[in-house]
Amino acid sequence: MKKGKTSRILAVLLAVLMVGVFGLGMAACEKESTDADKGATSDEDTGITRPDSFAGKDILTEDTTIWYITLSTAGVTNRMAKLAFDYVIKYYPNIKLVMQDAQYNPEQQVTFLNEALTQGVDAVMIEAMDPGATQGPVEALEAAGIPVITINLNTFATHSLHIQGNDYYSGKEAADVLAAATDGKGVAVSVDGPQQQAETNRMCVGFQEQLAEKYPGIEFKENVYTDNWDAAVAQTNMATLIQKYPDITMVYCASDDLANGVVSAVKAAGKQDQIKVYGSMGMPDALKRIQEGTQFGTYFSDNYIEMSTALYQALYFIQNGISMKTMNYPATPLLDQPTTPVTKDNVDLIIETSHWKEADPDAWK
Amino acid sequence: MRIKSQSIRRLVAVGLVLALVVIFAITTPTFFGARNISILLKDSAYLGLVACGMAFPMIGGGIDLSVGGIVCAVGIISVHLSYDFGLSGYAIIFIATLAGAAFGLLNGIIVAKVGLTEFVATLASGFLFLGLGRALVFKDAGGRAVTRAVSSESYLSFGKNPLWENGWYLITFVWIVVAVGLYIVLKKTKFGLYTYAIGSNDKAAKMSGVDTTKIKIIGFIISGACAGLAAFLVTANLTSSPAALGDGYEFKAIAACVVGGIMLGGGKGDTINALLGALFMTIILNGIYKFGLDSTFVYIIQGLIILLATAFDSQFAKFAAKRRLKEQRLSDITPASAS
Amino acid sequence: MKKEDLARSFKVWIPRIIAFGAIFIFMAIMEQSFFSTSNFIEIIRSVSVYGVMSCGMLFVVLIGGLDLSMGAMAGLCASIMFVIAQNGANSLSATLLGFVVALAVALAVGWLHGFFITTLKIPFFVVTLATKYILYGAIPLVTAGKYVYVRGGSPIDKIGTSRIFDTIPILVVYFVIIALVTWFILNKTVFGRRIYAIGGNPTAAGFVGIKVFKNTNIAYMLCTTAACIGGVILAANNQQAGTTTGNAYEGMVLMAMIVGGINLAGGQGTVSGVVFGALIIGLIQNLVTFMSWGDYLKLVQGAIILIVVIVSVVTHTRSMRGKGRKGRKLLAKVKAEAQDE
Repeated sequence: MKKGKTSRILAVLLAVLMVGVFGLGMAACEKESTDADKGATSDEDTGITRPDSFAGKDILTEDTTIWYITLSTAGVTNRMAKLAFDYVIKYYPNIKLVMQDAQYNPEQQVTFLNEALTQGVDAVMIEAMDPGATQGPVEALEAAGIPVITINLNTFATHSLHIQGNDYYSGKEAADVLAAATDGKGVAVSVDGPQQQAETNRMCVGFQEQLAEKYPGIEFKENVYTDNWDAAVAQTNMATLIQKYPDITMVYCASDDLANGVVSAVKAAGKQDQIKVYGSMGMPDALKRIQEGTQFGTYFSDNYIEMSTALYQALYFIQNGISMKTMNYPATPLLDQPTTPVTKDNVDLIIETSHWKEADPDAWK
Repeated sequence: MRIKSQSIRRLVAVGLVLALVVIFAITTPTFFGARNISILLKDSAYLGLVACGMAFPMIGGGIDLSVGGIVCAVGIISVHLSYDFGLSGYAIIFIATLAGAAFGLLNGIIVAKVGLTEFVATLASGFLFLGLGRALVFKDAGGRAVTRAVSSESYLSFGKNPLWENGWYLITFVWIVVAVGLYIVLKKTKFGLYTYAIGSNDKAAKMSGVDTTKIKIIGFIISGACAGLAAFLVTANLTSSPAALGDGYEFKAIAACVVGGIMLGGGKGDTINALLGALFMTIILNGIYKFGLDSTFVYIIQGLIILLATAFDSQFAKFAAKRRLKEQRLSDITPASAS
Repeated sequence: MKKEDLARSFKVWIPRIIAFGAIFIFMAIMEQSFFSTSNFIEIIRSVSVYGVMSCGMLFVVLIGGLDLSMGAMAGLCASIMFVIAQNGANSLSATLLGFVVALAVALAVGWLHGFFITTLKIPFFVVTLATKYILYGAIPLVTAGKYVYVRGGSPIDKIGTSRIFDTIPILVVYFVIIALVTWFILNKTVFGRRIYAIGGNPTAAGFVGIKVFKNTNIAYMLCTTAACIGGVILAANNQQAGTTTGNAYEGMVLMAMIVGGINLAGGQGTVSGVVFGALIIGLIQNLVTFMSWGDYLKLVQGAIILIVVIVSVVTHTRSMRGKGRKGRKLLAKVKAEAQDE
């Protein structure tokens, strides 16, 4: 008990020291704005190379709780998250990972964040639905020394780490792939997620901007929103779009769930040969559809790696006592997740090398 | 000697809240901390405010399903006023309440003047208000919805920061003041009396000269104003206005009222019941979170507790009514023994 | 008598027909491609799931209740059926077994609704809100937190995506069948008449010997059955089931009901109203997508619904009085009576 107390006091002292040094470094940084990069590297010396001096927690012997606050447990990434988390924590018997289902409700996410602080969990991972609403609670958590890791969807608050499957560039990539397949000619539409998430979902923006910039031969018609990420709504909207623009040749969808609905609508209209459907995320059903040939492509973002990286990072932060309280980052550190375009050519390889077969063995029956 | 049935219901509601508090305080270490209590009271304040307003249409025998839409629209309007026009929070809180009242007036007119049933009218107007809120969300140059954070100090003083270290939030006090104020309105004014009269028997109230149209409209205005106030406070807490604001508030508020002891169908209950009901609903969730369960189980347990609590309440009320009837009969037979 | 009834119901229908016609004419002017068989079929298909669920909700609404758990019920039933079918290698017998089990769960929940509402006297709002939470929480337990997929060619796929004569989606057929069955139950059976009687005045219905408890239970069971069927066909059409299946569909169902002129306080409403209401909702969605008004979908929906509802009530109260204007007092009296009901 006593030992813990002294170490905690030591930690606080060191933390204060770190913050002070970091602050001085920052001040120096601001003065010499041209030498910003140099300043950052010298800061790195004071912070990251001395993890021993942070008073962390021994995750192998002490009970540790990590919360993962989702958009919704129905969210597509969740299946993979579960598999990845199970894989990571089986080596740490003291770690308890709790999934919190916010049901696409930002207020609920704020409640969960407040709750995490009240209970004093050790780290929080979150897909932040509303960047503004989560700002205050995330700042409070970080100030209390609890590291927050945002996954895919960022918050306005500066925090320990943001990992993203790079929505924006995957949209650009999709435009490239589709343009290459159609010789840069055609008519395009995009099917987006809910309007409320427009800020954080940048896939369709990337797609549209790339088309406008590079492929004048492709005429972009319209972007439609889909409530609740509901495949049925996507199907209805796509059917109407086909009526409205009978000459559509390509559709970009912000998720493979939406692509599912879009493919149904295209099938019903009998335009499989004319319209190329491109999804996002690389979910098993989408890979299956690509194999069958009903969907043209998708991008594969390895959620397994993304989620396990997030969790490993959380463990690292806990072990070394890293949070905004100790590190005082000027901006949120960023980790970009590579994405791979999937078409019929490489779909078999992707299926073999992805973790989907373990995550969702039933999906391949 | 004999306790009024309404007091029994009140006691049951208080008892349920206390029972939950005791259970959670014993079984979990963090529930009874100063921080948790202040957060708990803050979280129950939004629902509580909406429920207190909702009490008026409900006591008057109606219902107001548009409060979710009002919260959405007024919340987004409030953030616009702060962000675009730089108004101070103190001005916006009045404007928000007034805007809510205006929406409530619209409800009142289509119910009392046009003659729609409350269910249909407020559900339809709720869709309209929700649509208004969604249409007003902030947009960037490309027409895509974006979030704007509120930075005005006076605005944030209502929701973001506690009044003292780990202490209560201003929201909580606003809520309690409104609940008590409306309680006085219900119990001490003619308007309150008439509201109960309409709820108990609309026709009889009308025959005895009560202007039911006016009373109903005022009830909806109060409900709308409370929802508007709650909307402002929610955005002050969130420091922004997500488009999903107010989702499902109407049903949660009605459930809070019913759990607290306000009857659907009217004539019974007051704002203190609504206050207790909202507290109960929030304590359930807040307490279950403390067990660190996956939220799947949280939803299941939440549902079960609500069912059990209301079942207990209704059975208790039935039992009390039977007993009172029995006593009445006894006292009829032997009038001398009645005291 | 019959003729008067027809005239009256026509008057009540006027605002809805006008709304329908106005959207039609507007679309005809704005968009040529609106007028095509495939678009009309698509509109009907898009509302089939709401339509089926609304038909079930109609029973509950007629006796003066509501079922807020419909969406969660749909999701749970679809998940149960998909999981069982998948474990049985998508054979026909496993699929049927899955449906039977899902239906049994739905009936049990419906019975429990009735039990809590009639026997334990808990208000329907609280009961169905609580079961909504419980059922929603139960879905990940059934599916182990995953989405359950079915592949093309399996029986479930045929249930959801086949087409009659290669043109009419099978969802439309379910909608029509369920609507006809609902019409039959409400208009041609004793149970249907009792439902209307209970909704009109439960106390009086009790006095004339109608078993209010039993009929309420049956109504709630019919409602969950419709939720089950709606969820199954929705999931079969998407070829996947999980927590999002049917999520928040009760809102759309309520929307369809009020546009269809169903009095949510009970006692009034017809199947044709439900069908018409669902179609108007589908038409609005179609209109919004055609006009690229996606940002304002909810606003357009809300405005049209409110206008239709207000106008229909005004014409209704007028038609109740017969012809012409007879002064305010009489109108007020009729309104008060309508509200008392």
